Amino acid sequence: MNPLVYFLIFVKASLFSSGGFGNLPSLHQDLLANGWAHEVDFSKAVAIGQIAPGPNGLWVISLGYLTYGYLGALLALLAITLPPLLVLLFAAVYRRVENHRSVQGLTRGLSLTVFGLLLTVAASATLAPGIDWRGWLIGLGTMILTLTGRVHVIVTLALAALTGLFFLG
Amino acid sequence: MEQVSTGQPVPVMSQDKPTAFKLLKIWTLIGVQSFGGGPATQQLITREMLTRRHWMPEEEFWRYWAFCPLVPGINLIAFAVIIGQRLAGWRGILATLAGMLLPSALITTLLTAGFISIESWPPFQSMLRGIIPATAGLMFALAAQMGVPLLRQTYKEGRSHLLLSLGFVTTAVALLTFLRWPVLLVLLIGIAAGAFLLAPPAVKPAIAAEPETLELP
Repeated sequence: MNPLVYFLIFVKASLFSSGGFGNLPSLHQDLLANGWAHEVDFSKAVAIGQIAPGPNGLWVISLGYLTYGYLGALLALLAITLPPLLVLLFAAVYRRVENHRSVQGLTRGLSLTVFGLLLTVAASATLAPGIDWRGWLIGLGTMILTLTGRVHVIVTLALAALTGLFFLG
Repeated sequence: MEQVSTGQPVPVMSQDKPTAFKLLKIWTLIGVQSFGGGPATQQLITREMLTRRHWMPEEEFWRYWAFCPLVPGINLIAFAVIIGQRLAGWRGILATLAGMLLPSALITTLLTAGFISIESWPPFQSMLRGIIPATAGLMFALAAQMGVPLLRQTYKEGRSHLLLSLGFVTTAVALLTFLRWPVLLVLLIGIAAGAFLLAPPAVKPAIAAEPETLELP
């Protein structure tokens, strides 16, 4: 594993993304292609990221640790810290382009594309080996509970863990 | 923007500028208390920066909030950086980043290490058989929370806008799944095509939605 290439994969993913999970499709593609991560690493990292405090995107640090130990966690932290610094540049020019329609179209194009890519990764996680119809039911239940917005994600994941312990052991 | 206090007189500004150390303390608390970003974190930041301390004019605060989703990467980090810069310069940026990220990152790393150390314990293996597929459902929910409000917005602008947006999503899925194009290429195409095809109707700007509905992960 080349630390520089590894780091640049994380920076690239974060630079061309929006939001805490926008970098997921890019990382998924690049790390799997290099054989530096397993499909299940992404599920684990997202689950741990949801349990840990901090902004949404810190799941990447967990992915870094799972794939490359403490160095991976550190590189992942650096990689998600750098792109948001562009805000300083944005703040300087934003007032001039704020109401420009093509800027809004561009942002929409990015968000819709990321949405489609995230759906693809989620589908890939659903169809991973070892997950059968019982797993799909758990996934469906989790999705519904999450979308209601009334159940804390830690409770939801604990329910899934208990389901696994008692019914899938 | 509803929360921009255009009707209020002069914004009350506190006299004492925050020191970098004070920012470090406040952002550490915000970082450790925020789970999953979103409205809860926004409330926390608003309370610390505006309600309790009046460190900057409300209008400026909400303007930053509105454009941070345009900045690459995690929106909340961008928002924190610009506030830190505005309040205490580059020291403010460093203090803000350190406070918001270091403790949370450390906890995340240690949780992962703990996870690995009990991973092979058989009962935990059973739990994982529940947790892993749950995460897939979670990913669908996260995607929906990001995409559905946008689709709803385009639906309000007319059926053709909605269909066009759905076309974008479908194309992205197809390019990645069937043609296996690089994600970066798909994103660049989405951005370029969006600038030409997805501009909202000229009358009302779509970016300046009300601050409380904007989600900062």
